[in-house]
Amino acid sequence: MKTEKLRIKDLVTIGVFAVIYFVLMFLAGIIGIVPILYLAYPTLAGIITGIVIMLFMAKVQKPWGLFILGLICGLIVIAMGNTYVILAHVLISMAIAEFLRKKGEYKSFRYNMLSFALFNTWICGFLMQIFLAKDKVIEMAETRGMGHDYIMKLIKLVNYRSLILVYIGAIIGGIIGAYIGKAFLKKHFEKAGIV
Amino acid sequence: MVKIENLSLSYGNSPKVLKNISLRVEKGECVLFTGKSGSGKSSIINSINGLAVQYDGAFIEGTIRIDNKDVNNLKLYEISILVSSVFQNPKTHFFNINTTLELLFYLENIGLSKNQMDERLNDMLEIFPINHLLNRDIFKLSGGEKQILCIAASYISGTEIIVLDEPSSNLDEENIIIIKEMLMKLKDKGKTLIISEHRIYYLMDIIDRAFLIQDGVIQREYTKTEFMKIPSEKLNELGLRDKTKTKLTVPEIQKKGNFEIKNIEFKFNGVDNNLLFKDISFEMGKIYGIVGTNGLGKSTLLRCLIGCERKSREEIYLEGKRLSKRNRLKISSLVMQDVNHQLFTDSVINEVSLGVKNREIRYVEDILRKLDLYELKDRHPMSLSGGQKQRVAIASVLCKNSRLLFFDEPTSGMDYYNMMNISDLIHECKNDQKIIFIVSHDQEFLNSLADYVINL
Amino acid sequence: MSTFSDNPYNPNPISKIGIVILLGFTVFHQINIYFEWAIIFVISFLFYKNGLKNDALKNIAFFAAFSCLLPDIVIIRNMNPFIMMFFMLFIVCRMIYLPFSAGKFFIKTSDVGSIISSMDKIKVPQNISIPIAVMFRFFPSFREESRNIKRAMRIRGITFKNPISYIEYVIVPLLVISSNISDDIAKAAETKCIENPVKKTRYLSVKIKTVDFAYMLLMLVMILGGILW
Repeated sequence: MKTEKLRIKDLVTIGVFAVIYFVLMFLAGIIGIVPILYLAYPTLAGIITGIVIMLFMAKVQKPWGLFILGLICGLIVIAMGNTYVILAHVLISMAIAEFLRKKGEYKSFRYNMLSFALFNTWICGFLMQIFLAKDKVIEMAETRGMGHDYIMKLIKLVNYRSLILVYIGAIIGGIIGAYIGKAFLKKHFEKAGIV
Repeated sequence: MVKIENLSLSYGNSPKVLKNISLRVEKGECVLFTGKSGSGKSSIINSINGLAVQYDGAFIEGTIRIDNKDVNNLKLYEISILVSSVFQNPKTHFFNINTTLELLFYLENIGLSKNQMDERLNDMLEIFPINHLLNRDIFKLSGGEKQILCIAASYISGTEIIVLDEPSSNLDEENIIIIKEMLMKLKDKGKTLIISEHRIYYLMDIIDRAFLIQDGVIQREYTKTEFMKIPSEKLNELGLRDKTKTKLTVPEIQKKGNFEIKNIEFKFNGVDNNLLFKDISFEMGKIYGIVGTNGLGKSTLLRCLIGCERKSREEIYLEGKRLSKRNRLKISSLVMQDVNHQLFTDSVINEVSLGVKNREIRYVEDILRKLDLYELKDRHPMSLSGGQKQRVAIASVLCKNSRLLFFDEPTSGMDYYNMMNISDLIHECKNDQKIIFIVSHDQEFLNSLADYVINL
Repeated sequence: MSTFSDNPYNPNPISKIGIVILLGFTVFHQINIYFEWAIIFVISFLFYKNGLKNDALKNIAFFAAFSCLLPDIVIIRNMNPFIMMFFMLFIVCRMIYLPFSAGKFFIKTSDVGSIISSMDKIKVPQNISIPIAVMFRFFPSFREESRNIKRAMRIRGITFKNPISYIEYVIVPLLVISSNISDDIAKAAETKCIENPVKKTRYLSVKIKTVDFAYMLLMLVMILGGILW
């Protein structure tokens, strides 16, 4: 079992892959501009970013690697002006993902796949903060003279039930992404000798 | 200072890269390791600075002692306190994005105070006046300026020993001369310089001794005077570049042809000088070299000609017909400087047939055979060696059968042998239906190949 | 981002990021519109004093658009639900505008060197600060490399007609090149003693200037005042 400390090489790899992950995640975010589809954002992001994170997990088979990568993503979205809700969410998602990786001793595909699925749920944090700020939306809209029924229609989109669906979507997207990632590892990266 | 005894080195199960190397380098000496690519000269450098073992997972026998300390027992940072490294490719070998901070990065890591850093910085500026490079965005520097920065940083760090791995390979003539002067100053300051290089003309005034490395062993040790006496043909035979500076002997472009450029206009962002190109024509079946110092927009010109530059405006005719950007894209092919950018698929055979329509498989296989790639046709392109990758890129260009072929610095970092191979290969691409353009600062290469040059 | 300068109106990165997090509270707690405007003007003032006149104006214009546009929604009440959902997006933008604006100020006016110094100052462990420093270093390379790959694809005639293989053709060279660059960055760092266990120093120090106090204090007053009003 590899339980080495993270070396400089690994830390640099984390930084490099964080950039690639982030860019792809944001590209997936374009979907959010279309109303209602933002509920599918975590699923799509999982499918698209699976390749990057699976390659990352193959490169850094050490404790805390994935956790730090996720944590940094959280810190960046905070610096870009999100709320602390997302940071809390990141910490929870990453802790579970890290735990799953440890169970698989950092190299079992099954556990890495589950780990990525959980990792992927941090993106739900974006919706979570809207969900938690619901009261403010209602309040704000009321002061602006928008009718209650109108607001309810909007808010309906972000309720417990749909939130659960979003989480399930995130996990399914993560699993699909992990399988795509596995296929790419086999088809390209192992042959190319970069893992 | 540096003492190597019975050094052998191997990667994994492959044959030894270095065999029984023993030598001593004294304080203040400048020593050159030379030989063709793959001879093992860079491996010696990488075993001295520790990267071979601690980074690339090489297995080592024998000892290397620096100031009587065994390198095998030192951590990388402990070696780095004794030895500074300058790499072959300055494009990626830096950690900060601000030039001043990159210069001082080493000092930050060994914990000097700000005053001490300023002192060292001023001391460095006295011997290398590079004020214009301070507090700038590294990404806005040219390749040559980055290498100047790397060498300046190796001086600032204050180590007695500096190892340099093919420091000139990505530079043009002008910058090589600057690098030469910097190395001379370092030598005057009493630094020990250990250099691996196959382009040797700029080092002739600096070195004290030279080692010729062949197949991982020291073939011969030369004193400076002995080394100077080796005739040029012999050097080329050994895979080395010429020891005197080569003059470009290719004539300037003159004849009229039927690929006409009436006008190319391109505005650089934030800079006053624009790229302007007017009334030049090229002839089918000829090879044109494009030369000029870095930063004049040679690569931009290539992009404009190919038609993949959105911001440019051009008026270009082929056989009297005006070509739009899209037309030109269809008939152009490019082999990039870093061919990693243009290898997309999972096998060599798929790679060369990608985007090629209506070609028989036999035709493709013929091309692979011609380029010695047939045996590799099921390998993943990214798993090949640098030279093989480049041949794959050229093969795919040949399969596309374009009328305009472009090569961007195809020989950077190549020894004489590989350079001549590429030269022959490109020569074979030549026919009356094609024009070949080569951006290059490699004058030996252009002399061997180009019909005309365009000087920007 | 890359070059440093000493501007008395530029707070240090720690205060700037602190304010971003603090403004996160305004998303969950309704604050008075006049106080919100005051916050926007403070940020615009600092943009202006840091030589970013366009950003100063944009900041005000966007906020004005968001806060004046929304009341008019009353008219759209009877429109179809699809457009309503579209306005939902506007409401979300409006909600996170304050922290977003402060975040933009942080990113546009902080140089990487100072950010790294700041992380040392607040004792961010190396395992986190080194990857963050690498991100700043790698991002421009990433942009350059992906541009080159896309260009190579256009010349090879690979188009978006088949999106799946298009993505494959982009991502394979991109990840291979990125892995190589990652090795190069690591080598550059290691040969410059980054793993040296002695206490590191920084050339750029994190200064606490008057503007830091002023920025912090004004924002605190505004947020608390806005909530309590």
